Amino acid sequence: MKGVNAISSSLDPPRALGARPRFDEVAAEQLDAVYRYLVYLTGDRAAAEDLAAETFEKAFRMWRRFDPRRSAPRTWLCRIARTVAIDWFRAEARRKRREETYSRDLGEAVDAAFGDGLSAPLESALRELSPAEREVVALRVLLELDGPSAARVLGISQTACSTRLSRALRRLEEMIGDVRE
Amino acid sequence: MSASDVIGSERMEALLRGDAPRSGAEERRAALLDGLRTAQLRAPEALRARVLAAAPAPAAPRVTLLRRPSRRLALVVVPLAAALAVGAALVHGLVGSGGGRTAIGTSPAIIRAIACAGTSGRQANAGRAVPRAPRREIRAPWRRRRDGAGPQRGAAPSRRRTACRTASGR
Repeated sequence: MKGVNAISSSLDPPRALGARPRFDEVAAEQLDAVYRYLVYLTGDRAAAEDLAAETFEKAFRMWRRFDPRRSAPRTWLCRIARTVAIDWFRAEARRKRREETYSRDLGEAVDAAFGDGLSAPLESALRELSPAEREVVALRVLLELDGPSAARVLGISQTACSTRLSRALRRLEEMIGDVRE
Repeated sequence: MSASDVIGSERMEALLRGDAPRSGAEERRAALLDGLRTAQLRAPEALRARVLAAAPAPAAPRVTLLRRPSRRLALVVVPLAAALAVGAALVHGLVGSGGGRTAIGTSPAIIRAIACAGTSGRQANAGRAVPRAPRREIRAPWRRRRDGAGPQRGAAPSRRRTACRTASGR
């Protein structure tokens, strides 16, 4: 089933813990994964692009602190990306309060944000999910992080992570089923 | 959605790993996962170029290896040096203040004795030890003697000469 993923070659699973890779290698390997995670989290490709760049800039500054024995580079980068995205959400919330019209335009302006080749019902269903639900889908399904790693990125327990994923997938199934019916 | 459609967490993990579905609900879930995974979403080339341009050259590990000890060393050495400096200042202050009293008490006598040795060759040649001078007599011996045996007023000996006498015990 993993072979179904069309971009699995660029989203290789995390390398073995312990070996310290070079930052440029990690950046080249994990860029697509981080970008995809941010697209799912924000629902906005342009914002995801900016946040991905910011994530890698921050990761470069913090690279000395990265301990490969504690986590895989992908997990570590996703945690940084999440922090960057949360800051962005806060800034966006402030901005939306100031400019209410912008917030209305934002949802309609972005088309096919979650990937090329995604079915229209699935695209619209993903848009209906909350960012928290989309990000757990991204981490577990697209980035193929295991349960403990995804829970670590999200800052929740493994059980809560599993529950959130099940709920998100169930909601997606329901929404797709409604569209098809 | 019926109770039979509920997929347990173990089965969910198995489906995520790519195991074959066992029921209709699992088939739908697997199809959903496939649908999510088939979408292509790559980082734009502009972003790739931007990120890789900011990535360090291969020589970076050497820099980090040099940086880490120096920073740690500074964190250890600077407080240690400050603590040592404070300790040394305290010790010096305590020792210096204690020694200072002794020096104040004895140094005038010694200085006078040396001065006498310079003026009186006999004392210097005798090589006698210079006793410590009583303070009372050093200050003003001729004023305290009220029996008139002391030197007359107006004929007070010079300070230097008096000090020499008292220092030599006479």
